[in-house]
Amino acid sequence: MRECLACGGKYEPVQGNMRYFHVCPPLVDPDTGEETKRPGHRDENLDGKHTFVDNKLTSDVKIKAEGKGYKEI
Amino acid sequence: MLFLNGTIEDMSFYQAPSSDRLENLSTFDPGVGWILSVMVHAEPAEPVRGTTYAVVRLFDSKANTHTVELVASYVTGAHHSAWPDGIFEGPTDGNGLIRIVTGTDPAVGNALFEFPPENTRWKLKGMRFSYTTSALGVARLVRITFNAGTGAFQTSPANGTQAPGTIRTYFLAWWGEAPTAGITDIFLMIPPETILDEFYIIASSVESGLSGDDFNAPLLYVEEWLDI
Repeated sequence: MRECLACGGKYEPVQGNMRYFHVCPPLVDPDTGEETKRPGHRDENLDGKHTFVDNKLTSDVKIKAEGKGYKEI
Repeated sequence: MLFLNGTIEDMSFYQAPSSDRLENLSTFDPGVGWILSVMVHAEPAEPVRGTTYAVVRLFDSKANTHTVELVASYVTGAHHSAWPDGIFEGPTDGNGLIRIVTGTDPAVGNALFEFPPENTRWKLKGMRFSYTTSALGVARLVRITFNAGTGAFQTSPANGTQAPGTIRTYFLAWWGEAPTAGITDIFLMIPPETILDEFYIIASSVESGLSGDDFNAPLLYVEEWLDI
């Protein structure tokens, strides 16, 4: 179990061999309803692809937003 | 593979795909000759439908272009992708993977906020979560909204309100006859066939909600496809 250090959300990063990609909820202005990313916003989704040439891997995969990170709980 | 010297040989190429829903691109040089058949299968794992999608194309390295697509389908423990006589399908065709996803348990005062992951398509079939209200304020009305980044395009209010100082469990299902809200259970209805990709957000909003209110981790009942 992880706890996001930006939003305080708790989540299981792997569920039944499937990965879960946490994203912080935005901050919502109570008067206007306008949404903004919170400071340290974390988005665990990945960008990029894995490329194998003759079984040699090159990869440009990276997390979308590391933000404040997380801690194991 | 039939080679120019008349011999026929079986050839195997291996690749360990990543488990992050990202594309794994491999190139193999089979030599010069005629391809008689191609099969893609998984070992030792037996993946279920919706998790492992294979495409095999011939690539002309001189012209730097793909020429023929031989295989395009999900690979499972029960189905090997093959050419000729295989099945051609896109990654979002047919039935997907049925699964329950446990979302993030938000900190007190925060909203529910869930996305289909990158390169994923979800058909949301149901959802369950609990909501605890602080003893302050007036009755709350919980909504689930669907948002594509340009404001909510669909909102589903609960069919009952929740008093301060209580815990209620909410069940979300496709439109139909909503059960009467009970002492502990409240229902929300969404349009059938609610299809969401990685740009769609499932979020909560609460009328008269207060900062001391608390959602637990939602369970999302989804049909899932790779969307690549």
